[in-house]
Amino acid sequence: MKTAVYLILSALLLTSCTEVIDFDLNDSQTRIVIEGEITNEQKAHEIRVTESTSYYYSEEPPAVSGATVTISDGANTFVLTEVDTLPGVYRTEPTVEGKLGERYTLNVTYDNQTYTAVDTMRGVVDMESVFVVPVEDTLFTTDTFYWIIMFGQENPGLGDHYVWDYYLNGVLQTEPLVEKAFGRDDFVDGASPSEGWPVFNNIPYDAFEVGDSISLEIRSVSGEYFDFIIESLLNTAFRGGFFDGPPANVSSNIDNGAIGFFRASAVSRKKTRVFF
Amino acid sequence: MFLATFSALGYAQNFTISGSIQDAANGEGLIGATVYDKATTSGVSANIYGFYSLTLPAGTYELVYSFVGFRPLVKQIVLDKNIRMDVEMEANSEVLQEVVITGEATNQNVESVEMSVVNVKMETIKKIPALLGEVDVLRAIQLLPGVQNGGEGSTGFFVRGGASDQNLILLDEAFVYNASHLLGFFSVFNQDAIKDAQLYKGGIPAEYGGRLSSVLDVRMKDGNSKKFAGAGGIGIISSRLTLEGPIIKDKASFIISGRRSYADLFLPLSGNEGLKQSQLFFYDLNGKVNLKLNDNNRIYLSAYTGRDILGVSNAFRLGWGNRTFTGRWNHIFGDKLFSNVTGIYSTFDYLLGIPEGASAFDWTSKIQNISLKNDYTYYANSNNTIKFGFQSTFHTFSPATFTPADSNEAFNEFKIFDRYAWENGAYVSNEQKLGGRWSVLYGLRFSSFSNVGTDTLFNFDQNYDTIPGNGYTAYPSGEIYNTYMGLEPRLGVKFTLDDQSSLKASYNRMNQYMHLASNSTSAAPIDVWMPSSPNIKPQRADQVALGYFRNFAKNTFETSVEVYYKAVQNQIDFRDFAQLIFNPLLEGEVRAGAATSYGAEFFVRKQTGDVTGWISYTLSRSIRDVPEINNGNSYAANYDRPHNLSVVLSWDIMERLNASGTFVYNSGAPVTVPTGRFNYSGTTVPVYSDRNGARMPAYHRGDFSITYDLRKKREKQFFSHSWNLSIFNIYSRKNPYAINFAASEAKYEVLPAYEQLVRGSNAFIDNTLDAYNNPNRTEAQMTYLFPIIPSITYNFKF
Repeated sequence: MKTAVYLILSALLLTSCTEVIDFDLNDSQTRIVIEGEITNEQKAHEIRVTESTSYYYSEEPPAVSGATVTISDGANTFVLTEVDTLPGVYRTEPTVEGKLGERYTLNVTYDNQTYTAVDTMRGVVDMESVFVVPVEDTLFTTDTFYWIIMFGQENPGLGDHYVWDYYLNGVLQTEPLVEKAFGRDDFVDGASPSEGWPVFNNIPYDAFEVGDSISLEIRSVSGEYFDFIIESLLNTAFRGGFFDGPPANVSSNIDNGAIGFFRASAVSRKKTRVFF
Repeated sequence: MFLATFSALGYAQNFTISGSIQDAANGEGLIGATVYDKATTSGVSANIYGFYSLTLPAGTYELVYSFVGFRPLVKQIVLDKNIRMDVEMEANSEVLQEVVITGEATNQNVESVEMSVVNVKMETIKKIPALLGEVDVLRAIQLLPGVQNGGEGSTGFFVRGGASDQNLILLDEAFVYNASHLLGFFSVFNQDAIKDAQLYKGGIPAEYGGRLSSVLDVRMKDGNSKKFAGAGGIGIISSRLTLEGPIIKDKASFIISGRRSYADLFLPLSGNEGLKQSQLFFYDLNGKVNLKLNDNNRIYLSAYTGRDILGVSNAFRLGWGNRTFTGRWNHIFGDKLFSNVTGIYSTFDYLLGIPEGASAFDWTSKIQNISLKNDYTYYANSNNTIKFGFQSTFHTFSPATFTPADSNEAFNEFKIFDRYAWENGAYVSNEQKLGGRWSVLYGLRFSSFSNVGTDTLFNFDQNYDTIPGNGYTAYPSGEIYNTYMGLEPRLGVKFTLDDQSSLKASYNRMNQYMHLASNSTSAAPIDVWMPSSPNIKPQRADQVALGYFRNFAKNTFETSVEVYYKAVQNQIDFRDFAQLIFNPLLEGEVRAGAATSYGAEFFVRKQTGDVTGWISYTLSRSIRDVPEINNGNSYAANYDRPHNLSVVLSWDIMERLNASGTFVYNSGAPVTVPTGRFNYSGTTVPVYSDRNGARMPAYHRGDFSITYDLRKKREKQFFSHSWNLSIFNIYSRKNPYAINFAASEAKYEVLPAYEQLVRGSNAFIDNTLDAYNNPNRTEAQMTYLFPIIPSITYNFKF
């Protein structure tokens, strides 16, 4: 739609202009921001605690140090300790391993306030294979893009949500959020391992070289987390269209006025190389 | 003496004088022209077909026919039997320039019991400076008190705090679902095909129903019944041509009017390959014929079709348009009962798609209605005018159909099912002069709305999720499974203070059964209409208004002050992040609550003389209280703009030279802005204030235009033509269209060599590079559409 409006304006021999202006904003009080997860892998699981800032603040967000952070499955409570070199980053012991179907409760206590979030670990698709293939896009351009395609058995039954990341030679490529792939199983429910899912289909051809190592990661997430991502994107990367609805705060699964998200995810990972 | 007493006591026999009031030049009925007895000032005004009927006791009268912009006509009559008198009035044209005419304007605005109504003549609208020379009814409407515009570059309008879907827009009685061209920059009303437009903001008469906030009744010309004539114009973005004339002189006439924009003709000049192969235009075609069978029977057929086409080579296309058809039969029973039967069809549809390739598809959406209407006006006597009638409408909603092309194997056809509804209304009203200083207009409308199968009704729980195991109920074809009904009282009272001033009050209740799923302020063509259903209650408004009307200097200056208060129940709004398009569960996105608006409107207008125009100032608020939005706190509606000032002036400097200017000032539109931000997964996400918790900078703009008539002085020539130069936004104010808060892009990172040359200073680059390349930097970006825009138009008439 944005394109359409620009087209009309150009055709009317006009240009719409965008410029940076001074706009006074009422800065609210800061809020605790929590980001992190527990997965079904045996590793040190990480929670990051920061503070929100005024909108025009142009530095890294301030870390929240000295908080008490625990994750509990009801029977066991795992204590997370702050990493010396990374203020605001808290990790479990490297022996902790989440279990499918388990309900996890995160507790963060800071400055006499406790913030709690709950998530349940759902099953994920076990990736059987991954391919990286160059595909010529004949629709809008004549450019070639790399696609990352995965194969695996989707769990029958609607209501599964997934998020995908990929690593190039061991380096995460999918930050910020808009770079990630995410989806619901509406159209792929119960897909068999013979049906490929084109997870990423817009990677520029010059991003990879033959021989690069690519690792694809799929996570199971809750519907609430899926909404959280969509809403975050609607407020950032997808915003600025001429027909946007009114902006609104993104949802969160953390109580007591904190924002962000705590998730429990099952992870599956597969490595491949760029052959073409 | 004896007779006079008799008459005063009312025992004298009454007779009726009736007929039509027409423009002598072209035979067009003069809507709203008045006829009154000079001695007692009892009178009536002509209806929308130019028909009048006045019943008076037997006697001798001096009847005055008057209409703004026309020479008053005085007829001496001896009323001793029923008389048919058709009159033709002549315009105050240049022929009379020699004679000094103070212009005996009427005091219609003071005299009439109606309030909160403005009639705008096409002739007036044509004098207002226009964006790109496109004279536009809807843009003119936005300059009136109580009417807010929908932001820069939009013909959407908001009346007395009502939403844009709460305006009943009629073109010869047919609903116009989307009155916008080019995504809202222009409206569908072609200036040469339109006679006039009447806007009711309050005290809405009982014959209208179905929308809460206003009625915009646009009437097409009937066609010149005297002689063959034409008009047209060549402008920067469009050209127009209208032909009209008698089929049988004084019996039957036609008009056909077309307009096509040609902005896309410039596209090949563009350097952009994509633009070169693009299509972009709109067209309008209006046609009307009328046939006078005899004095008591007349038939009108009118039709409109218009469409916007937008295509980007073979990659994308978008088209939308309205079509309306109206057939009317006027019949006069005796000389007091005027009846009209109308059959109406109207439709709006859009198509969005990719024409070719592996992803080719068409996505279509359509809404249509077919309607039968029968209206009667009974001119009982000079003190009572009774109106009654009914309307029955069948609506068909086809929200979305997704059809992949054969070449597209990735998707299957997908359709959001059609829905059907049957809407009915019946009304009766009486405009009564109570004698002395009081007049009243009272009426009652009964309305109903039924959902008709085939339909699938989703069942939602309190969280607006479909109930597991009982997600929907299916209804068979033809079954009426839900009906809403409502009684809508309408009341207007006028108290005459003296012959120059009056006080008026009005009340109206309105029900609205169809709603537009839109949460932006722009009238996007891809918005869809949805019917009320068990999930969506009808919207209901109650409005009271009070007004003081005073004319000065022999009615040369009309002034008014009106205050209003409007309360809306079940105001439709949408949850945060609502998905309104292609959503079968659309009803689950709706959140309903209360809306309250109130305001004061000040208006001064001068309609006669060399200098004409008006000044309008509105002070108003429009607040919503929807429990599930904004944490239950009240918030300003998107179009809540407390201060709204419009100044419109037109000056006939010389016989052939007219200059006009407008100035508008509006408070900034409410906007939701960030009050903070946080970081998640490398993304800077804003934390927002309350909904609409801040305001954009104020909007103001001045426009100017000059029209130079090329016709030689004083000669009444067959062919007349003129040049119009318009300058929009004369002081090039950067009015915000949107303000977007975002992370700043690293925009100067790869500064092209030539730009570095232009920008020159190394210091500039050094200073800004770091700031702009900082991924943590956020900023407010304002988008504005129109800087100063001059345009020139050539108009002709014969």
